[in-house]
Amino acid sequence: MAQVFFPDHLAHLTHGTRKLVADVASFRELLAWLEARYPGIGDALVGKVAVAIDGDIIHDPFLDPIGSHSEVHFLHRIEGG
Amino acid sequence: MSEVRNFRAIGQRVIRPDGVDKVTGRANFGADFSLPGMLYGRVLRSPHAHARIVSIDTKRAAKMPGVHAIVTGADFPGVQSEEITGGEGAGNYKDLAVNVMARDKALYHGHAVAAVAAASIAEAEAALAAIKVKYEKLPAVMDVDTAMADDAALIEEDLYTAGLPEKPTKPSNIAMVMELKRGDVEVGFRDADVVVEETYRTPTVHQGYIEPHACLATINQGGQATVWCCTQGHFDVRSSTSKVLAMNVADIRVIPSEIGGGFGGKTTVYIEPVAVLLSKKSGRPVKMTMTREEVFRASGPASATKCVIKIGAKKDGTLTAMTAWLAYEAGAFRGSSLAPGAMCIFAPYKVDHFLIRGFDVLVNKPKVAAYRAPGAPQSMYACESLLDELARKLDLDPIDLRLKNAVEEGSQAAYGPKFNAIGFRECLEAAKRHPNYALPLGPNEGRGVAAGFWFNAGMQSSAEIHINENGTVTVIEGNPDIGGSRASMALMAAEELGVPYDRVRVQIADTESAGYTNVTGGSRVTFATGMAVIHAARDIVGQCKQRAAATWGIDADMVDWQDGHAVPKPGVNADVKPLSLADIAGNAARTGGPLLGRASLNARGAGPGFAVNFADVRVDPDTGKLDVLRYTAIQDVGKAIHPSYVEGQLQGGAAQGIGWALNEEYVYDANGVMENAGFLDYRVPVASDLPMIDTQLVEVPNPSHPYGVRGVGETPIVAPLAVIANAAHSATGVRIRELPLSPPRVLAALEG
Repeated sequence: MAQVFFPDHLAHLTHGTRKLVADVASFRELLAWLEARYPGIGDALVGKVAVAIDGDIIHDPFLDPIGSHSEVHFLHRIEGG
Repeated sequence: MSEVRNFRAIGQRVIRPDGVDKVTGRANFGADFSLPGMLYGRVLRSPHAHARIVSIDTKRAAKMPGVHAIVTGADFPGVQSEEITGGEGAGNYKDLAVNVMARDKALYHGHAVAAVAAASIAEAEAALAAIKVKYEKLPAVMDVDTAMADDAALIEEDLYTAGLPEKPTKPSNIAMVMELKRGDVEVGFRDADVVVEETYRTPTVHQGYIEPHACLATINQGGQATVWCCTQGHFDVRSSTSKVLAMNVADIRVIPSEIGGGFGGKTTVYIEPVAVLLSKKSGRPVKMTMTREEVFRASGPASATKCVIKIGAKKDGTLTAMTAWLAYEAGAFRGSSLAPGAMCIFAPYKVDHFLIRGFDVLVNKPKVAAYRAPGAPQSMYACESLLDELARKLDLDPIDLRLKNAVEEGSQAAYGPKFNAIGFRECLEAAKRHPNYALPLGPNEGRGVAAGFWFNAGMQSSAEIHINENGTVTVIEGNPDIGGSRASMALMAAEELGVPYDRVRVQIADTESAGYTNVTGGSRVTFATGMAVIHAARDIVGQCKQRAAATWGIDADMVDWQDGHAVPKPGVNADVKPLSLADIAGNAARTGGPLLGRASLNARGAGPGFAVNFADVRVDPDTGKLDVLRYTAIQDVGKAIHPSYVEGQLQGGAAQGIGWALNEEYVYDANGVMENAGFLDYRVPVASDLPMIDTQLVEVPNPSHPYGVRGVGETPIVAPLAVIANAAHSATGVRIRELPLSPPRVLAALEG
């Protein structure tokens, strides 16, 4: 089961829960899993935040695989200069 | 994913292909393009830092000789609120449109209020002088303390702070509040033997790119525009211009020129939409160039900041708790680089209890833009300075203090995820061993140490590779070459294809000729676009193996690619001789047509960059002037594709950071007017100010890249601010917690 972490500024999307455990195999599945539990959460995440899956930061994830022991963190989008 | 291999091309210090044209003046930069019948565009700018625009009268100016078109905010379409899906500080297209041309209020001194296109620059400027603007002056809000006060004048009357549990009952200048935390800082401070807390300030500074913003725009009667401009991202110029002018992106072609520096400051638009609109209104091509004064007053500097840091530690140096209160100026529109500043500040250290609270604050200054590791130099200056103060209190070597707490592979970063392979500890150990660290110091001399961190970015890139009929190689990609990326792309293509570097040419193509590619920024080009080039080259190799197999009448999986040749695998019973890339390209018509490889990707796993820098400075006790005697920059670069250009990034970042620490600042008068809008008074370091910057490349491969590459362009500017501040303390015995450490400020501190 993947562990999914929400930072403080996004925890309101999960009614204050900062850590979830999800049985998913991809970010696409995670989004669907989250949407089923927190309707509308996708609109607040997609295109607005970045995601780190097992330490790799990704802008605009979707098809990216998530392993059974993966850690998924939502975080601010970073572009740099 | 990173492969252990012996490289042939990677790591060679080849000559950059664009170098000769750039040093001989042949290269075309933003202001070098012209078209027949071209007009010159100039911008009228607000003389007030904050004022309501009551009226603009252009009637007299429109009748002046040579004037073909005038535009004001009223000529621009209304733009709906829409967040720009970039990174930190990207902001909102509605704000971008108002920044390009003011509507009802002028929000900073230099804010554009009208623009003229005329047959000559002199005629355009004469017309500007004839435009009558009636202003109602408003109080100028020029720093975070004033802006955050309860009774502050509001810059945006309907701005309600985001990031709070409940929407506030009244508007304020605080656009956003953010928080990052772990553990319980009260517990952490209770466990500490020593607690230190201080406040640090940094000024508004500019990237200081040598080439001012410049563009040429033309739009035909069908409404299709072409824009030549100097930019870090021509696809972003296209999308921003389309939003500001409500045009279809398909009707805007952007052709990037060579670029004379950007450092993040050329990732947005200022004059490009204005030039397109003037061209539309006049029916002529319009060229616009900013003066240096305009660049300072009306492009995007880096945030001034106020940072309050508190650190608790055990006697042995183990960190027990850290807190940061960060206020970043956003300029006149929301969207500073607060978030990465907050995410970077404690990233290098293991600490169980921390709390970071940050504020994005509007002031009457130009909207800030990205500047090399946006946000990180300011916050890490504060943290790395306080760590130095802590090391002194604990009587610890500053490198040992950092080694005691350094993150490593598997550590949970303060911003969330666990680190994969990183080289912070290796950099600290290299610094400790470096001969410069053991050199004796003389009178009035001191040594400072600090660490730097930056995430690095991946994002979207595209590349095509064409094999010409003689086997030479053309790489086509979409990132303007700022730091030698043509050479790096050519090296990677040469490595994969097994051909000499001098057989490869790299073209930076326009928005209609290259696949979509994100900006040249975020230290992403060698990593992400390089990965696209590698994949495109592997596409070519795959095709070549198929062509060779077809030629020989064997299966493609029985063919290897070695040293630029297709060869049969061992054991293949075929009497054939290896086929070179030139052989296969020369026979392409018979085996399926031209060889074209391509790749597009959204790169993940950029691999964060850590640096450790140290420097020796000498203070002149009579004048307060600080001289940098030696500077040593050590950084984990993953794998250096072109070591000289990687070293150049370390040296350039150090030079900019030293300038930020020693002299650079926007100086404002009481009315919010910048008083030093030129390089004579805004002093960037020049060659004679600096010693040779010594570099040491640490190579801990990034496991997410085929060669181990991690971005290198931004991390180098993060550490120098604290390095110089810590060295200045060491040299003078006095701690100054506000930058820059200019001679008057240092002398005043010395005199108590």
